[in-house]
Amino acid sequence: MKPDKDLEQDRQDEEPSELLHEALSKKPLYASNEEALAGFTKQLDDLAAKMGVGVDQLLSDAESSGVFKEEYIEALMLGRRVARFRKLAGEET
Amino acid sequence: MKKLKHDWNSLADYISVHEKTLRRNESYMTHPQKYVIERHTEFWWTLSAKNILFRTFKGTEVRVDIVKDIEIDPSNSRRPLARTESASYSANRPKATMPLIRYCYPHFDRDPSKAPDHHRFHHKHDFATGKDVITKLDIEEFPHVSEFLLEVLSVF
Repeated sequence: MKPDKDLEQDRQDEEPSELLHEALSKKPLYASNEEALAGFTKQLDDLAAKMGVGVDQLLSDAESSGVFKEEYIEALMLGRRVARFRKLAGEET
Repeated sequence: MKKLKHDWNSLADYISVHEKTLRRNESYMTHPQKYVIERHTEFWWTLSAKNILFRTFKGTEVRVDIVKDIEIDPSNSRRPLARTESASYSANRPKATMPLIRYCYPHFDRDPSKAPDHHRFHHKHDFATGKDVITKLDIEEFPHVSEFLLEVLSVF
């Protein structure tokens, strides 16, 4: 296989793909950053409760416990989203 | 001026090159997998491909998960722009409890003073030795998905 390291640096304007068309045809899940923050915070809280730990512990375990669990992929993703929307929603400067 | 590695691109190109990268590596997947887009808000999307099972050049089965959080600039409605705002690429042995490697963008901790130092940087976790060996990365060193997949396919 040839390395394709330059592929993602292509700068030619492409026609929107089917995947993009489909995404653009749907409304965003949340109308505001505040709604998104509330939604993702609840998902993260629910996941932590399901795992039987607090959110901070879950994120710490997911980050560097050296253990792989399906839920840790989800936790890291939700952790990033909560942090991002917390910032966007103006809870933190 | 030199183009930055993870700079703004047109949204159509951004999505297209990611799809192409996955397609170009499809022959190494045990089951072809495609990206999924989630539009959280008008300005923030996620592009992800989870639980992709690869058979590497050495014949090892490795599970890969790719999650990219994308900032969208829709101000030009005819040519909206996109750039990676955060990302995580992970490689794991399927059915094993020990991860292999994971690349992360900086974390935005609620209390940065209590967070590990590497959270402030792009970084790589390498668990291959059984310990979490963390390497801080410059943003230009953070791999494209294609580079990450080549590493996974070559190393493991």
